[in-house]
Amino acid sequence: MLAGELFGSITRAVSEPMLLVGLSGEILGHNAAMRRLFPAVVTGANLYGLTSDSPERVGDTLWRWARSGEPMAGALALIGAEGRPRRCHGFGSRAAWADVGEPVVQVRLVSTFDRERLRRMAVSNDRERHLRAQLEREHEIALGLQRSLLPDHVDAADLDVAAQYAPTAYGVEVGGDWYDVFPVPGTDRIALVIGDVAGHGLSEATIMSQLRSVLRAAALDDGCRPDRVAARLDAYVDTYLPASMATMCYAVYDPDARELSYANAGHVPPMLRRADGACERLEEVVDPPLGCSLGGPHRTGRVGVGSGDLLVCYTDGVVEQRRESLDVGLARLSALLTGFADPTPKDVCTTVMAWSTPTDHADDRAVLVAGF
Amino acid sequence: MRVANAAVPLTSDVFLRRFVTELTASLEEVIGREEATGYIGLAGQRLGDALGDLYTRELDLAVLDREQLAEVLVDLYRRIRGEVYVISADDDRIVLGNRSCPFGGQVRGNEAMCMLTSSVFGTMTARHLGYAKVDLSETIAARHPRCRIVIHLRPGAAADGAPGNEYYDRVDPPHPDPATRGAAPGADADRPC
Repeated sequence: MLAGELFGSITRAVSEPMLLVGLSGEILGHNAAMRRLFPAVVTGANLYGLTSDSPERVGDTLWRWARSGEPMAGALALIGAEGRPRRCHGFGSRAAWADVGEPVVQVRLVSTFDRERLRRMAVSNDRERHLRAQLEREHEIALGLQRSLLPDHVDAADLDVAAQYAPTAYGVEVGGDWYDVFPVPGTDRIALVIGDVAGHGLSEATIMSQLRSVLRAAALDDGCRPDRVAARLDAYVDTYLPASMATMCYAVYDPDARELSYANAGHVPPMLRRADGACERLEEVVDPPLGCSLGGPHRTGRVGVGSGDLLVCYTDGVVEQRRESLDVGLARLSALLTGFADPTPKDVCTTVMAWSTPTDHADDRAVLVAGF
Repeated sequence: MRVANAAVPLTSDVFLRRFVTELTASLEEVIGREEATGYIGLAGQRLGDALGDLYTRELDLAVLDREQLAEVLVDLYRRIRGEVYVISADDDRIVLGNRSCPFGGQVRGNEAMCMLTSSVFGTMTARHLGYAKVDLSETIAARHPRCRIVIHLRPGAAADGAPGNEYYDRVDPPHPDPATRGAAPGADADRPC
């Protein structure tokens, strides 16, 4: 595999734009987020022609990054999706692993655009008021689309299920979180789904709607096989949504066997709160995010469930805090769930959402709880 | 009370040292250690280039060998009130000790400052010897009694197995011909991403 392809595969799930570039300026690889924000940045193009910086400045930046093995700060003014340059800061370092005949650097740009865009919109002039109205319209459409796809109430005869969703705290953004609950066609089993499409915007909301439909279609054939459903969605994203990245956990409850089977495509691990208060992370199987498996198989994990047990599915916005590792967030959630006395799914759902109420949340949040 | 006569321990040197440590601590607090070290690393690289130029110009040497480089690193810290000494030097590594941090007592608990030492030493070493990996396994900032600075001089198994940051030889920046590479459309580069 070429260095650029390897780089693109490894960084595909990274939500910030990433780039692999030779010292001569040749673009060797990029991730999906880079392609979304900067469509002109394609493999084989030259970075010098994709910025409004002077060649001397680009050369100096690449030269500095090429001399450091650790990520070092720098800035580039890249041509954005609208055809205009945007100044980005980021961190670059020597990609010593890439043997292509010249020094190569790997770069991670820091996406501050949306927050900066909000700040700039506060300045009142006609053009910005127009832009703001356009963005708000887009936001309303996206939010409406997203809301229409998330069930208002979940209907599962053998399960007591509750779900809640909260959009991102940034006003004009929507998220790609989704959940779903439905009977597996032709069986008495119940499917529970939670997922998260990377990014915040109308396109992510529409991708979420596609994935929800594709998943339900896959469930018509293989609804009882979480590994196959996950593989089907993985292939769909890889084939038809190459610039997108999503995570998902698909679980199936079998009321006869009192068993939960599940596949996890890069999603934060669901928690199983036992009736005695003990809390387990369902992480026996965790496979790459959708579109990132590179042909590898998806797997099914199984766990027995008893009366009074609760399955708690959630998205990363619930547990992620700035400057805190994910493990710390997961441990805090586990402690919260353990501390309940005889909770109902609705109690848990409401409490978890309130517990995760952010002061600086950039991400939306969804929680789905099922009681057995 | 005469303010001007008060024994406040403040000089311009103290002021600047304190400013640097507070700037580093602020960066670390606001954007986190990982990204703060990215900025300090850049400052260290620029500083390493500038200080390296001072020495090569004064010594009238384009390239320093290992012994000369070790001597320069010791001298550099001596001039800024550090107390660096050579523990050992061979083809594979230079090992330095340091009894006194140039940034003073405030450096304790402020380990991002060590990136500055790593970057300055690594940049200067790589420039003259081709490669450096700087391992700061013991530092005064991390509340050790002294700093122990191991500079690996050769990429390979020994350096790969050691912790630390890598620095590469001076790569001359390319001089692209804008006519052949094509000019970027627009000049409004102030829109952030």
